[in-house]
Order: sequence, then C-alpha cells, then structure tokens
Amino acid sequence: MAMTLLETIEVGSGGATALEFTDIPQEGLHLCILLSARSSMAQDDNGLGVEINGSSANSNAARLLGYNTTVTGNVGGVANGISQIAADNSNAGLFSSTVMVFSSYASNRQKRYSSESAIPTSTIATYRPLTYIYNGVWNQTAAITALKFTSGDGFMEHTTASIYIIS
Amino acid sequence: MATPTYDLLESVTLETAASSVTFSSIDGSYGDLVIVADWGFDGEGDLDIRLNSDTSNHSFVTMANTTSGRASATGENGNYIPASYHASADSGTYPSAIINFLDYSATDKNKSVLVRSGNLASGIEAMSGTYASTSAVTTIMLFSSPNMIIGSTFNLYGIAKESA
Repeated sequence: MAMTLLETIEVGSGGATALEFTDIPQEGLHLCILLSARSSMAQDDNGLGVEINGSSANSNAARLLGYNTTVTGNVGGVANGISQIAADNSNAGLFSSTVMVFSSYASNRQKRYSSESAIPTSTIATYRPLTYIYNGVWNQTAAITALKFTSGDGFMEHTTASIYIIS
Repeated sequence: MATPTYDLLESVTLETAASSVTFSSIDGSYGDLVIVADWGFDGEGDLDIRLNSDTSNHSFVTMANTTSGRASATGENGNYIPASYHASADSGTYPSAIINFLDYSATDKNKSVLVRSGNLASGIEAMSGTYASTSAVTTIMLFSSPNMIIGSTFNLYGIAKESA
C-alpha cells in the first residue's frame, strides 16, 4: 500500500467557508482525508457535511456516537453529513480529529465512505471528546473528482485538511 | 505535486516482556502520526497511551462491543488515553490497534487522538481522546499492566502533510 499526498489546505486568518479539493486524480484505489478542524459556529460541536462532485444530494449514512457513558446512533436521516467537528463554544485551541476514507472512488459503482472523529468539547465536560463513526453511501456511479467539506459558519483559523491517494 | 508519504519512523518488537514501550524525540516535521500495535499480555490487561510523560490532561470516551455486551466509559484529566479498555486481552490473545495523532506537532491547538482496537477473544472498540496541551507531542508511551509479552510489535509512522 502506498499513500500519496495530493494537497493540504491550511485555513488562515479570517477562516474559510469551505474546504475543497478539486481535480482529484483517478489513478488511486481509495481516498483518505485527515482533518483537524474547528467550526466557527458558536456551539459545542457542529456537523461536517460533504459535497461530492459539487452536489450535496444522493448521500446518506449510519452513525454511531460515544457520548459520556452512552453509545447511541441512527441509521439514515443524516443527508450529506459525514461527521461532527469541534466548534467555537469550546475552549480556544480545541480541534477535532477526523479520518475519512472514500473507497473505490474512481470506480463505476456507488461510492462508500466512512469517518471516525474525536471531538473534544469544553462545555459537555472539560476536554472530554465525543467519538463519532459514520458509514455512508453516495448512490451515484460517477467517479469522484471533487470533494467539498462544509460546516455551519465555516472553519476557523488553524484548521488543516490533507487529502491522500491510497494505491 | 503528489508526494509519497507514510514513513516508518520506528519499529519495536519486544525481545523480553515489558510494561511499556516509548517513542521519544519524535521528528516534528510530519503532519500526523500513526501507531500500529500488535501485542499480547501475561494475563488479562489493558494498554494505555501517555503523551509527553504528562501525568494529567488526558481525557477520553470509549465505546465497545464486547463479549459482555456494549459498553462505554469516560475519563477526564487523567494520565492516560486507553488503547484498549473494554476489550481487554486475555493471555494468549493478540489484540491490535491503530492509533491516529493528527497535527501532533502543532503548538496552536490541543491534541486529539483516535483509536480502533480489539481482538477476537473479547471484542472491538473505538475511542477518542484529548490531550489538553498545546505543546508538540515529542514522546508517546504505551504502557500496560501486566507486562506485554515477547513478540509484541509497535510501529510508528509519520504522514507528510507538506509537499516535498
């Protein structure tokens, strides 16, 4: 297995409304995105959405959440949600970590994706994270050439996102 | 320009039973770190993570599906983040874990850690942890009780975030 860096986005002063990777090469087997993020929205944590090939449609997922001493989750009903991230009500310096994989992204089959996130908060409990796992599908057969990640009110400075091809 | 990455920084295979493995003086030039661990115990036990030899500032949430059912647990401001918790390993079984440390060398953010681990005998689990410090992570200690057995392996990889 080889893992090849395509691009890193580092959000600078003033933040960013979205994180977007375009013109993704098609010679890989899978895509991996490593995201260290903090949403600008004034709440404990915030949803992370994905737009595939410029569209937020045709996606859905099941998710599992570890929260305090509870394990919960739901199947479907999350549209293009792909994870949760840290947000602006938490202490300064708290960023979530998310590992995302889009498997067989260049194939002519429907696409599957998964994510795992550690989401530290300071309002639920000091620094104790949430643990989220998403497993989703994009029910289109077109190859993935562009990925755009969104979060309400955008992303704060020091957010970083790197995209890798796994081959 | 595409850049090959995922460099093996250090590999440890225990030649004698030991209660800890430490990666120190970690090269800070990578974007992220991954540890792939495959270990056994001299009895039932857990494996834990401690960063920068700090005995506080570690918090975590676990969720697991084990032979005893589903379970979750939390810890705050302690001296470890678990690499195995509910899915404790019995003697003779080899658990494995993949551990991600994103932006480990950043000095403008606290660190969060992702762990997936488990073994066939007792179950699987996913955990996340926070290390509430803006110091770069330079030392990672994996420690256990009881000892880890001969042949346990721990590989530390660096993942490039900047083009060469």
